[in-house]
Amino acid sequence: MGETPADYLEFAHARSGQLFRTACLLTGDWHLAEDLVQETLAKMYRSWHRIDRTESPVAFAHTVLVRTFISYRRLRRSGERPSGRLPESTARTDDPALRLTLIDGLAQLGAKDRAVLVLRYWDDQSVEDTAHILRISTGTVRTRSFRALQRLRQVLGHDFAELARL
Amino acid sequence: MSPDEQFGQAMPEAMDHAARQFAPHSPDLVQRATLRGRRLRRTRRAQLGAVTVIALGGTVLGLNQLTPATSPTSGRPSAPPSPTYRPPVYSPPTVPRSGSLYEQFAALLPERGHSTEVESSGSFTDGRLSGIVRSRLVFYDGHGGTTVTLNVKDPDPLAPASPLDCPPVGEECGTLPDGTQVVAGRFTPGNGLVKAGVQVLRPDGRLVDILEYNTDDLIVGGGNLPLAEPALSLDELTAVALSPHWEK
Repeated sequence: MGETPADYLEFAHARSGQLFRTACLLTGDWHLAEDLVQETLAKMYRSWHRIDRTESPVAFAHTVLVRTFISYRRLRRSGERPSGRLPESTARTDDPALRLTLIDGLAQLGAKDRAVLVLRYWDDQSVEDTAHILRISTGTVRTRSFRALQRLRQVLGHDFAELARL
Repeated sequence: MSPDEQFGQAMPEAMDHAARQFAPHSPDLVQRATLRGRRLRRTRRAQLGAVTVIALGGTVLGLNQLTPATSPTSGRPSAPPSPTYRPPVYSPPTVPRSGSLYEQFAALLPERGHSTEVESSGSFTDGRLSGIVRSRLVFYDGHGGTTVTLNVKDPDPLAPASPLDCPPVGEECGTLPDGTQVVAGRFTPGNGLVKAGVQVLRPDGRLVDILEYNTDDLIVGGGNLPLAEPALSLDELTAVALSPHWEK
């Protein structure tokens, strides 16, 4: 890694864990999450000398991650064959009931709806930043967020009562 | 407070909890991303070079002569890996080149074990790829399970194939007489994991990539201990990746 910028490596090692957890929520799959973070960090490496370090490379990384996820989903929709298996089966099993509940519910949503919820409630992004990342209007973010939450609540049903008691 | 508001308020903590249920990422994730990033950067430089040549009035022929390694029409690398490669001993059977991708992939593996499909996408029919051609399975050989993932890709006309990287440590590289490049390696990323993989880049730009881990725990859970070694040898992975089955 001799030619790799030290500040890139520092950034990648420091942020990979958080990016990976975001990717897990987006994809619901350990392997896909690894692929997604790998591609995100690779794109960061490719553009590292052009990324303005006075602004936030962290925000840039999240933008790349989410946009790559959306484009992955677009590609997969055209080619994937339903396997009838739940993608989150790669997760650790110390609390399977909860994991299946929330990850299952997120999996029922469309990619952009899932991204809106993860950005707003996990990454704590503002409506404006979420709109910028997803290249949609702030009004659309609010509408999608509201509808996605309703849909998720509908899907989770009584399971959410457990979720809310955490 | 309305149920919707309660739901929204509980969401951050619930997401945090759900995210932490996933095992941590592989210790070598950053290293892999960096290698991939270098490849992307090389591709971008080649594209920028191509654009410059076109802007200066270069012809398509001239462009190919200037950048043979990344010509979109050939996808053929110009800088072959170091010649330390030994051809595989295992010989996969001949199987039909149509039907389920998983069944085709599993049928090429050694008969001493059996496989279970995890997930597959895309299709492979008589050499033609459709969608993201990827199949992941668990191979059981009587001692435990190994997770194996196959990817088959054709070069993107807008992002031509780059030569395979051949890092100096832990990998075996070589170029066959027909120009096919092979990079195979075994790594120990930590936590008892052993990862083995092979990449085969054919002269027409088709890339066959097979990766295995010495555990099925990431797939089926249950805390199964990793095997001492992945169930499939590097020789077997290489033979499957090199199989004429995957040719165009």
